[in-house]
Amino acid sequence: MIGLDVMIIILIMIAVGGVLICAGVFFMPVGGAPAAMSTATGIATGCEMMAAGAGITGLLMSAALYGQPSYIVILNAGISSAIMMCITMLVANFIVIFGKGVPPALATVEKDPVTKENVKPFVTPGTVGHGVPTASYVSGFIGAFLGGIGGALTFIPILRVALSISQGQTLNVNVLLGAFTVNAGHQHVPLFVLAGICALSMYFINANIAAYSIRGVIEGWWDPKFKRLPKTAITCFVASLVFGMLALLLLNSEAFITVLKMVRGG
Amino acid sequence: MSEIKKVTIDPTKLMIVGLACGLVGAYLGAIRSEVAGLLAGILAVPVIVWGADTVRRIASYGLGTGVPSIGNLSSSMGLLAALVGLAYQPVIGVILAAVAGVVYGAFVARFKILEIPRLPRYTTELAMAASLALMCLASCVIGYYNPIPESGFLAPTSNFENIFKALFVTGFVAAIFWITSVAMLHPFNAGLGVGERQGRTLKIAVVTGGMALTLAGIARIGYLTIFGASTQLYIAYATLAAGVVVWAGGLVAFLRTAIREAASAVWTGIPPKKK
Repeated sequence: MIGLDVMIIILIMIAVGGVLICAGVFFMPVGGAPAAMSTATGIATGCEMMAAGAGITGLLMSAALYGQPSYIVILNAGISSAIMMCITMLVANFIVIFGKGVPPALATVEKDPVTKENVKPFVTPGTVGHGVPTASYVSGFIGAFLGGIGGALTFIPILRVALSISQGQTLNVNVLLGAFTVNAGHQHVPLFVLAGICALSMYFINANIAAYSIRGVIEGWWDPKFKRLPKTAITCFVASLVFGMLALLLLNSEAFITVLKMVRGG
Repeated sequence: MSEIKKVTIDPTKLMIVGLACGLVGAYLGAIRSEVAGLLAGILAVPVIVWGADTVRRIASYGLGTGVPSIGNLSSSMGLLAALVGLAYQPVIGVILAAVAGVVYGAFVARFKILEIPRLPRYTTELAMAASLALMCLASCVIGYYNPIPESGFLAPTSNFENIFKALFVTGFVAAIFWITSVAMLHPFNAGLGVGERQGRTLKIAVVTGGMALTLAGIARIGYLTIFGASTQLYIAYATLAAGVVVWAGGLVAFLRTAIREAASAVWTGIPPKKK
């Protein structure tokens, strides 16, 4: 039912999305439990939950903009995730600075990589930094942007294939990458649910590989742990290909296509 | 890094029991009766216990990201495989889950992202357990899943129509996804520590398995009510009741074990005892 060229494009989109999700997690300033006690730099939650937050924001945005050309959907998903993450970091900084009275500081470098300020002297002895300094903020912005793009890249192909089969359209590369002229009604909402839950699964699978590679805390792109990115990205690429094939098998199955025809009937 | 502790139940035996229960639960719908759905939901509990034991083994090495990540990973891997399995044949879903789990574990171990001995085996078990638990719970929500076709090998397409209505039109797929994840991750997440013991942790797995069954019952009631078939509700209420019984039974068993193995159990004074 789905042509070979379309399948290859879907797999490439999902695999590139997986790599971007992985890179996004590496860029985010993950603080984990120590950050909640202001004894480490970053946002006070684990890699996985932060990635899930950024990813779900991106998925919501790409579901809202389903009819636009792909690059607009992808960019907007990235921007919405970045806005979400920036607000989180800003509020976290307010709490740390005005609530706890702790200055944001980095422990792994002498000077802030972005503003070139001296940040090391502000680190309390016995801790590895506090709050979200400017460089971590910029890094988090980039990370959430990449993560949102990755989420949209896994969401778009699954949703568009399902929607276009349910409308009886012929599938080609244009349907996946260009503008999408389908007016979705209430009967199409389950397809959004399906695409969303599949994209969320892909998101968790990739974010977990990155999270295990980071093992807890990372400050940003200057952190020594950032050097693990290439190996982790290759693993994410392979894992996304494997699970993308599972998603393709689902989209290709006779049972699913029968259901999509049922959706067309109302 | 913790040493290999002495276990009450051998993990391989637990795996065989879990696989058998899950496959029986997924194929029980061949009798074409709604009782099969109830039994499939009950058979999901041993599968969840197996999954919780796998989470216990993998997470006792220390991951650095917390135990919940493993639970979400397993239900994410399981969901994709379970949907494929429900669309073709459950056994295909389990085999694909195993293959995907082996590839995932082999690559994560090959690039030394997670240095845990025998990691591919653990990820394989996680994916298989989650896919079987999801398939059993899904067949519990849709009533029953009939895998035997009139001709050929693939399951009848009417099953997937029911799944689409029960899980995706209503949105219960998210609830089933998360309860499978939580049921597998919570036992070790709650029980970890120096005095952790397999028998006690698996009792919490029975509790969370009962919670999953209860949620499946609620989803069944919701599905039938939304689609206006509220005359067939009695099996759905039976599922709910079975879930509550498993939940309460597991909780009582766990509390007894916990009180017996604690150094001492004393009254905090709140609320005050009446004399």
